Amino acid sequence: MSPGELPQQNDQPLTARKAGLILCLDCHKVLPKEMEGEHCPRCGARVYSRVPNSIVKTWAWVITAAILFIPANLLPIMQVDYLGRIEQSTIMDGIIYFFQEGSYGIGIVILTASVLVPCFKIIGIVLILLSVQLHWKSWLRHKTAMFHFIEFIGRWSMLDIFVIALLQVLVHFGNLSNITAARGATYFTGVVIATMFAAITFDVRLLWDD
Amino acid sequence: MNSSEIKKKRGVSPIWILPAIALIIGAWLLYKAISEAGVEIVVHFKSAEGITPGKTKVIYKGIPVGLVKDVRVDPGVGSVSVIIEMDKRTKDKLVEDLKFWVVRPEFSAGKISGLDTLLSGVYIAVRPGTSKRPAREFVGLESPPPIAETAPGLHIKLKADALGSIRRGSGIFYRNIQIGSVQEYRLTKDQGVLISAYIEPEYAPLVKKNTRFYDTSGITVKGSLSGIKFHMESLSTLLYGGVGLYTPKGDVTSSKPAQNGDVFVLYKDRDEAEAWDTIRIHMPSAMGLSVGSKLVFRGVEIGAVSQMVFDEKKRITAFVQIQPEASFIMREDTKFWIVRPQVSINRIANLETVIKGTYLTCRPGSGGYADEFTIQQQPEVVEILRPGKRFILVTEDAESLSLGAPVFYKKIQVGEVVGFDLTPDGTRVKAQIFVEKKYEKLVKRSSVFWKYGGISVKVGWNGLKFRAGTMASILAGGIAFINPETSADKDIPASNGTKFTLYDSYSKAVDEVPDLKDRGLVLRLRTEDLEGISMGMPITYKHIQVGEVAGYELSKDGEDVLLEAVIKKKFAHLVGPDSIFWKNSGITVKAGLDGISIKTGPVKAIMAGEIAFMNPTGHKKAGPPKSIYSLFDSYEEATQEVPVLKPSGLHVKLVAKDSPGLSPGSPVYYKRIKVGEVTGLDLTEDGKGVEITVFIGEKYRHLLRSNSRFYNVSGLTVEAALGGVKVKSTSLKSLVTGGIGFINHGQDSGPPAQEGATYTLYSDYETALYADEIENGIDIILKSPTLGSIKKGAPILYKQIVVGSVSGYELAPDASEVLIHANIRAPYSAIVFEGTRFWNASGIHVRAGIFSGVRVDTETMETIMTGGIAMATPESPKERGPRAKNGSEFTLFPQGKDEWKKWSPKIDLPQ
Repeated sequence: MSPGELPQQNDQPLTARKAGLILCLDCHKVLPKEMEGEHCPRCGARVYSRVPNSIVKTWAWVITAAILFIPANLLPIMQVDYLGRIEQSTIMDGIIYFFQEGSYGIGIVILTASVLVPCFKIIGIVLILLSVQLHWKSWLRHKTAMFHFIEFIGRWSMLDIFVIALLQVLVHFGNLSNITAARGATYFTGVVIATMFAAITFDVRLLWDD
Repeated sequence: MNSSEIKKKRGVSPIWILPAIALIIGAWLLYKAISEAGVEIVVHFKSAEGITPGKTKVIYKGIPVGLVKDVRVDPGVGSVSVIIEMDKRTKDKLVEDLKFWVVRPEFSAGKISGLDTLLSGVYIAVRPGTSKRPAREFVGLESPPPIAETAPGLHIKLKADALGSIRRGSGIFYRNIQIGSVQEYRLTKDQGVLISAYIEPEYAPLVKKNTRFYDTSGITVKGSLSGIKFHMESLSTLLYGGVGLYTPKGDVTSSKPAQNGDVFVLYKDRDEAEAWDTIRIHMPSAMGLSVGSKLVFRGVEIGAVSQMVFDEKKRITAFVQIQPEASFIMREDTKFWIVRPQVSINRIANLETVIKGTYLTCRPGSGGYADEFTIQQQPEVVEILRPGKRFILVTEDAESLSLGAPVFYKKIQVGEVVGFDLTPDGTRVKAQIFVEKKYEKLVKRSSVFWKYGGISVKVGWNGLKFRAGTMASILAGGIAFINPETSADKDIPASNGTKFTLYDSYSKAVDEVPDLKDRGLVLRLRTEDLEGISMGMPITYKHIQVGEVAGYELSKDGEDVLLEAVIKKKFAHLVGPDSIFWKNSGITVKAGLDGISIKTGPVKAIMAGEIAFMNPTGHKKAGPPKSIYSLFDSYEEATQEVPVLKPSGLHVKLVAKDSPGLSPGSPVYYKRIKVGEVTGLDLTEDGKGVEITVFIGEKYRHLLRSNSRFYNVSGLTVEAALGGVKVKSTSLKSLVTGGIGFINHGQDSGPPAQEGATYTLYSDYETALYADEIENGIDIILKSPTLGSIKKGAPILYKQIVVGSVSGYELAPDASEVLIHANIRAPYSAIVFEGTRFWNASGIHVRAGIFSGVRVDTETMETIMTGGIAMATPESPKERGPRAKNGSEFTLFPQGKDEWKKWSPKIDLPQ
């Protein structure tokens, strides 16, 4: 298909790619197809019709996130020393604790931010990747919306880590009481970072390609 | 476009390193989890109380070695299974006889343990086993297991009738140091209790084969006539029970050490543990003995009656437990008899048994071993083992004498009564006395013996010492002797067994023995009690010893004690018919806030006390001495009682509403110099007031005039000034004991006071000083909603000068306000008009405003401290109205207005 050609079929909507155009993702300048791989004359960023190796990179990040997700949830994330009594708790311990205490609001927030969101992100991205590779063309609009949502909430998954970091600094009373991050926190951070990178490296336009 | 030219590199993207790293981490974590996974075991407990899965740890010597994974109820058995994941490293140690028990906080009397579990929750403790057979299922214990029989140390068994307060963990104490503990106990087939005990290895050698164990729990209270014995080991054994041990002396080294498994008897208490052997004594009747009665040998308790039973002949058999040290009495010839009080009309003996209780005593004999005896009806003459001489004293009766009664020479006990017997004709008593070798030469052929005492007194030898052992001799009286100097035989020592006559008293001896008459004058002194009096106590005249106490007896009416005093012949002329005798018992300490005065007699008198006498007129009155004199307790008492000695001076009476802290002896001051004292306090005839008798010394009597005024100086005067606060009290002593001062008003002091004159006692100096002015002043009433800090005596100030005082206050009849009665004394009463304003000047008024600044209003410093009332009278006659009269009523304002304070009316004060 040469640039400028009209689409042959009506059920195949015309895309910029079909029209032989490239959008600079940084300054949104529309460039001809021939500029592929070169620098945008306006902002100097490299322009691609589709982000190269996007699928592979995203897969790699998502798999990393999925693997790290297991120790992040199984290992204790926080260690509380209270009068010499050391207690380590995993994410789920904390959630169960809040639910048992009747603090359902906090429990739900932590459950959402620490378990549901990473889970949702991993599953969501895997689903999108599979859609691209297996050419599942249904619900494209919803999938796109989901992807943007995943991109948006990525940063909120760090809530847990922030809380632990804050507590570690605030609760520091020598022998009386201390809070420190436990091993699980590292893995959890890894999960969050990996899912964020997965979202960044994915080119959502691939969903719409034939 | 040639598609064949398009060659895409199909290498693995480097991004895959990330999941690879993640995988490696995951794999490593997995490996670690698997490799570190512990060994799962099951422990069955009766209850899983406090055990939390995932939290409760298994701790060995403070180190966590396992974690409870799960808790399940065992089907049907009524127990619970606790699934524990043990540390992998303990795998080899998981053997059959591993012991698990739950450690919970324990608060029981005397022991708090497991405190750490309060915070950390309960934990499961574990003790390693010795078996080699591995196991994964165990039965948990409810309490810490006993120390294993194989553990180093000594494992012994104690047999007891009852457990008492001993329980698991009760300590075993040797000289109050815990050397072991009770591990377990169980009932034996013969209804006893068998206690397993463990002694720590380092103390194991302390336990011998013949060591005795006894229960130290609780308090032992043993009461008998001879006193109450109160015994308690440490507080913890009181609360938690304990076992003591004791190895009889002499056996400590000879006996072999105890071995594991040895069984000992656990005695109820130490006394029982110490008891060595039991002897049986047959007697026709109990004769006052009872279970617990002592066996005494030479005054020392060596055993006690443990049981009294009837034997086959219906006699009584007493079982007496004897201390090991006294086992020498278990000989065939040993004689036992009972010592008990003998009270009859003419004879009181063995008085000590009234206090101590009837007791058994014995005279050890020789012969073979015996543990069965028959009681002796008659006491044996006590054999004296000490070297010395014996003498026989013949007397009409042995009244007041008992075995052991002391024999005195001068003031020293030189021997004792060791036996009584009747003379062959049965009319007289022979008392055998024993005089110690050291003193035996003091007994001469001419010695004269007499009895003294026989009454209950609280004195030791010199009035200084109380010796329980010699209590009896004091109770029972004793014997004294002297050697008349004029006798021909005075230098010949008496030989052993010499007979003497024992006189009933010194005076009787004087009557009978002519040699004694030369010794001096015998007087009798009557006193109420013998406190501080002892045999041989010196009698002094101007601190020179002129005689001594030779004896004492009860007066015929039995109410007083008559002392026999001997005044040496050369001093006999000093005693006249009006001589006064008093006790000079060494040190008189008079302590007051004004110092301590210590008055002592001669050193000898300090040690033993003395009896002093004097002739009040300074020289002896003519006439023969009286036969009986009164003995006063002190010189002061003598001066009170004997008119001649009474100090001269003036006695006057003061009338007051009450006695403000005064007591006899309270000082009377004039210009702060003590001039007399209060001698008596009494109610007035109508009972409404107090009549105080005051004595003014002769030297000062001219100071007291008929118009003198007395006032109370007790208590404190607080004087406040800008320079500070002065607290004034005439003397510290008057603060405590109270005191009275008097002043002479004005220049004209009036005629001298008369003996017995009556005065009024004013409440304070001011009242006394201004008595007339107050009388001539006016009494007004101030109405105030509250009393504020106004007190009785608070000053009324006019231009900061005190013009009167508050004399009292009361609630208005309708209780709506307070009526403060005040007196404005003359001539200032002229200042008070009906329009005069009164306000409360107590305290400090501080007013602060943004523009006005801070204003502090006070009247005088004194009013800040004590409260006070200020007044001002208006300048204009119209406003001030007529002059106030007695009973005029005014309003007491809480605060004065500024304009009032500026008022300065000119008023002529009457002179």
